[in-house]
Amino acid sequence: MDADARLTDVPRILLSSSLDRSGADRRPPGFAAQWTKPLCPSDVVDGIGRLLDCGGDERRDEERAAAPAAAEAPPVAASVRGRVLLAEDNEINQLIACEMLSRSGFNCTVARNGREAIERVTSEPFDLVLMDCQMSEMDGFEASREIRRLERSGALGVQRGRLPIIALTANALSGDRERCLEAGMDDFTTKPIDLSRLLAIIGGILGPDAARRAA
Amino acid sequence: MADQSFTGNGPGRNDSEDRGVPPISGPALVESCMGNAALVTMVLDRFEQQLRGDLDRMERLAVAADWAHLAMASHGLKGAAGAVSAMALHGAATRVEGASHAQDPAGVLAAIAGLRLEIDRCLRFIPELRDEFRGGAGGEGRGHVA
Repeated sequence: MDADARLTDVPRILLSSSLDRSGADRRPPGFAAQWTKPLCPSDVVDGIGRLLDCGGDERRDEERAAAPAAAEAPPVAASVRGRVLLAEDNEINQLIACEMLSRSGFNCTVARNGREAIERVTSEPFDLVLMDCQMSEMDGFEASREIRRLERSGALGVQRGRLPIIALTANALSGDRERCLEAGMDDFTTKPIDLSRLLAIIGGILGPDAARRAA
Repeated sequence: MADQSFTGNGPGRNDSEDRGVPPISGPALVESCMGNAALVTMVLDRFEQQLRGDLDRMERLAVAADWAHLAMASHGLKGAAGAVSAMALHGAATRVEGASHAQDPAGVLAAIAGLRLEIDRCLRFIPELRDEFRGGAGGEGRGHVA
């Protein structure tokens, strides 16, 4: 692309699978942004929009001066708040995820496995479930299928509507996303949690745009 | 597998150590903990406990050729390592998980030797990192760090 004068002004985005979360800018010269896979559609749309509005390399210095991680995904809208059930069997992941969610304005409740998650959603109202896929007693796939079955049977209360479930997985393998969707989950993000990415997904599900779409 | 030892089979040092990369990224951990120094130290305490128990358990599972539970244990360790930004350990646990899924005894043996090195590095580093946050945060680690 560097050799073709027609392409020199075209912004380039580096896609990587790196798990480096240091926030350091590791883009090679000439790349306007770096995104970590897997990408969610809202990240792609918003990111391309930002690049095309602001120009390529000019944007890079602005992003570096600001918070690099936050620049990759929009913050969740201030109006998006609610009760989140975190289904996660590892205590370290529970501690960190709850801190992230609480600081972002959510009320976080922990379930230690899929079975406990089902018990929680049948007895308390939640706006969203973050579901670890691989848990010891009952995994997130089975739990999500059961939650959807309970919804269809009316056991969760028709007034609550469909409970959004976001999958959390330490794998980033092709096919994982499809497996999550097949189990009834609505979206997918990888661990370790990238808060900006997670908030973007939650905003897409619980935000005002989602409410308008549902209306 | 019953007579195989999991110590001393790997290299004395690993790539990360040779590059001088700390086994846990303090800045990334602080970012994950939203700057909460008390949470950082709590997470390090829990991680240390988990590391001490996990290696023994995984070695027993490998000796028993219990691949399914070994894969599950290494997957859990991988997740915890990622959460605390111990990325070399994350990689080592990923290799154990992969070898377990492949039911490859030699691969598991080699991967667990690498895992032991990374766990030892983390266990040596955690007290230093914890002291840094306890000391740096002031007020017995109840504050926030930048």
